[in-house]
Amino acid sequence: MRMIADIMTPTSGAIYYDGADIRKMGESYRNIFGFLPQDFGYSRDFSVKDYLEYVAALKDVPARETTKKINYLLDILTLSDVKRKKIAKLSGGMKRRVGIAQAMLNDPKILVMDEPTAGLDPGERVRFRNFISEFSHDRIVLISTHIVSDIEYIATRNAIMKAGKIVDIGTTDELVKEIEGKVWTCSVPAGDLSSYEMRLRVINQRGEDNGQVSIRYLSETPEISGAVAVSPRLEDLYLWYFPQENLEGEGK
Amino acid sequence: MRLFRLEVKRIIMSRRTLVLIAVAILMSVISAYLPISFESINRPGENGEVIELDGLPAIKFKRDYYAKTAGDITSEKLAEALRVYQSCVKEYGTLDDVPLDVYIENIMAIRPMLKGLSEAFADPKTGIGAELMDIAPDEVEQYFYERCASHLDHVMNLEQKEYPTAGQFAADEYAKLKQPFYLFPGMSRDAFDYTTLYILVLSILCTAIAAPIFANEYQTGSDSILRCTKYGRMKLAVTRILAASSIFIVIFVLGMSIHLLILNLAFGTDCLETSFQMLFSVINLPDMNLGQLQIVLVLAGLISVLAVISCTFFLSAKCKDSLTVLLISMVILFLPIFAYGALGDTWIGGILPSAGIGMKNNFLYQLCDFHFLHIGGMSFWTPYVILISAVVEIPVFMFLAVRFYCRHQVV
Repeated sequence: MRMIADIMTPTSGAIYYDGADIRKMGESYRNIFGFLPQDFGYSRDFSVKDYLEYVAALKDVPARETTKKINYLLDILTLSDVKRKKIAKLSGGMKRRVGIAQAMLNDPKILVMDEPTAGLDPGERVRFRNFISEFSHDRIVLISTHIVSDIEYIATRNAIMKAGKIVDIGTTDELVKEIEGKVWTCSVPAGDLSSYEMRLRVINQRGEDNGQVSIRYLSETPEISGAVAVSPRLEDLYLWYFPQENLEGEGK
Repeated sequence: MRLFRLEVKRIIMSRRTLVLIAVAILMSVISAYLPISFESINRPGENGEVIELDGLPAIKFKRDYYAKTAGDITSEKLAEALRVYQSCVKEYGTLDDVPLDVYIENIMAIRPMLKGLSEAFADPKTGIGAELMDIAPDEVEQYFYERCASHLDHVMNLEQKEYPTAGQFAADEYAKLKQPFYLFPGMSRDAFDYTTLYILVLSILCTAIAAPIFANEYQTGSDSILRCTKYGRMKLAVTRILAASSIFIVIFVLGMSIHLLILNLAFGTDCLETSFQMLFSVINLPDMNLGQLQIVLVLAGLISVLAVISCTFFLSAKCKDSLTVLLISMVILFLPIFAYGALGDTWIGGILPSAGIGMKNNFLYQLCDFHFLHIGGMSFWTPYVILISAVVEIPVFMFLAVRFYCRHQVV
């Protein structure tokens, strides 16, 4: 993403936009570009309004449009009440939304956001999804996230990266087709749950009233009699590619 | 212009900057107050008791007193003053035995003008100053200014024997001086020392403000966002440097104005007409009065401070965190002070951005001294070396800062 943002030089290869090398495009590329990095950094002394005015000037947003644009974004992102507050004093979710606002100040044709919904509550995430969905018409919006549900219904194309390499790419429907018949659900006695967990890749469990537990698991074959194949979701695919033990391994 | 305005606002609104500006203003007042507070004089009261005056009352007493003797220091005037001094001291034995009322009545007013006589009539072999009682007033009347010039030759022979070009330069510069010298006594040398000390304080404060200019953005990660914007590369770097430099110039001019205003109001603007040579040494080379010296110190100080902060900008664009930048900048700032103490005058000490800032190595002392740096047969007077180096370094470091900022890679 940093290479797409042209803040890191690729060791080999090049990135093209409409046939032009973005490194050679320079200012004209950055003029149509919006970026929210994973760690949203800001100057501690900035208020929300001052920060957005500063970024707007850097993005060459005309002075007469800046206030209107900032107010619009603050309203959409429910930040109007805190626009005079120091960013440093905002909650994590609010800071994230300030980051989203700055990325969109110049109506970018290319919007790149790294974990944009980290720290947002469910309501804010829904609003963000709808906003991005509406915003993305005739634009490139590239979102990197571990929260699969954020992009499941709005992304037109998904790319799955593992250890720096794209392992799969396609629409949500195309991707989930790959694990059709590999996602199962069934009810098992609560007492036997741990043995099932050791044998199978249980991705969800829900307690039921009669001492049973409903489990959802990934497997090539049913493994448990009475198990029923269910429609896969993007999250199932993610867990298929990134088994829990691998994630723990990466964490270590 | 809009970006420049917002950048100025960004730097100014930082709590760190506001605190440092407040310290700069406070220090301008303190550094002006201290030399005023050091002034003191004893004078006889109406009932014969000794009254001690300190601070402003002492300065006011001296100003009123010295006003009578102020003027051009002609050889005749000097010889007459010496005669008065010698007859008075002869009458009582030694200067220490002269009663206070007699001293104030007859000697105090002429002491500042006699100060240069010891130097001008110093022993040519050793350079040791002559006793005032041993100097013949007639000789002063005939040859005072010639003796000053020949004393300069002797000093240059002692200090720069191997470099005749240095001696020639000094002789040429001295020949350009406006003579006779002018004296309105009262201005304190301490005041000039505190002016140079205040320049050092301003350099430290400006360096502290400049250190995070780029590095802080790298450190907080906000740089990733800013450098992705249309004007986030060269234009931002140039604007930042210009905005920060403008702020430093305003802080410097404001601080120095307050400092000098207090000093000049206290000591009186009449004293500023005094020739450089009458406050420091009669063989000094600068052709200026004390008022012009203040202006020169301000301009040279500003150039040195700009060179120091340009170097800090460069470090800030190069390093990844503000603390590292601050530490390296402080080392560079203080390096000439230590280098001068350890090695004396060297090219390294002379060409560093902070070469004119410090204690014994500061620009004022360089103007008062006869230090030269040499390349082959050529000799360069250190005040020129310091100024030219700083003037060259300002655009060089600023260019490097912009270049390193633009080439910075986010990792």
